[in-house]
Amino acid sequence: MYSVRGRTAATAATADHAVCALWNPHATQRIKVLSFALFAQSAAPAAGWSLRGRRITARGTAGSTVTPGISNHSTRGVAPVSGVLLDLAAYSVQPTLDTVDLAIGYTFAASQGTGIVLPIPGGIEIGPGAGLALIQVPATASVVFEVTFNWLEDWL
Amino acid sequence: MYSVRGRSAATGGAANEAIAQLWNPHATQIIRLVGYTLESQVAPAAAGFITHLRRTTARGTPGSTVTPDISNDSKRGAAPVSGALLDLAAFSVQPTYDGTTSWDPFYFTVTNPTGFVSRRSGPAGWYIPPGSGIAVSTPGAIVGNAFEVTFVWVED
Repeated sequence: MYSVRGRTAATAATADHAVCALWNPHATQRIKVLSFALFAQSAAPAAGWSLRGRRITARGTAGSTVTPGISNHSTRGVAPVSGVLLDLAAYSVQPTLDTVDLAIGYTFAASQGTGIVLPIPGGIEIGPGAGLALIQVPATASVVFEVTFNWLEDWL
Repeated sequence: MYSVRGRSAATGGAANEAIAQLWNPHATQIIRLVGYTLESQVAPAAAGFITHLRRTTARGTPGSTVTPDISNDSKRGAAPVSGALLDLAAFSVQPTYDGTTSWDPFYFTVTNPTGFVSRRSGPAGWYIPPGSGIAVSTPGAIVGNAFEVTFVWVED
């Protein structure tokens, strides 16, 4: 199992802007997202600020990117074969969103430090050249978030 | 999940001869064996032919080797990053066994074909650390025969 963390910048006050995304750039390898976590840093989210999961088909241009290596492996066996990337807001070019939300989402309390750790029963598979983004619902700027994704590169 | 098959040659009749081995040559990657099969291609030469599993710490010199690639991945995502190898009898130099312990015995009937499927369910299985292996060997000094062998494992 792999894990990666990063810290976003605030998003613009536009609906459906991506807060972060796990992007799989590999030509053939699939990955399976098992869980993710977000915690508000340095400020309280606006009242009613929420996010949801959405598949993406083009990466966009992230504000910053974390590239996992061998240290991100639970057994420190090998760097992720997929070359998966954690992209973080604020995007200068938004990722291309699929049209349908996934059944994952959360409304944050308006207090600093609020957050969620969300296991995904069965996981969400991400095919080659695709990703999973967490996007904001309202046209309200986000705060800075601490983000973590956990995923598998091979499974039964 | 990965699978690989091969066909062994007959073993020579000495005790503790390896029939097949899944060898992990990687420097850091750990793999997890989740199942294997053994099917005889002719009737076992003698009654009382038993196999069991043993850990190995040096590879020995197999009679033949199968190198899995991307086609051995259940999702055809990537070749196994461990570089795992299926080694087959007859070994000219036997693998070095890790102590004297063994497990998962099977007693073959003197019929053709005869065999078994052994599978650990869920998250169980047997981890194979870097630079080591798991061999199917026969404890008795009984001449073996050709076996169709399959190993199933996960890389993450």
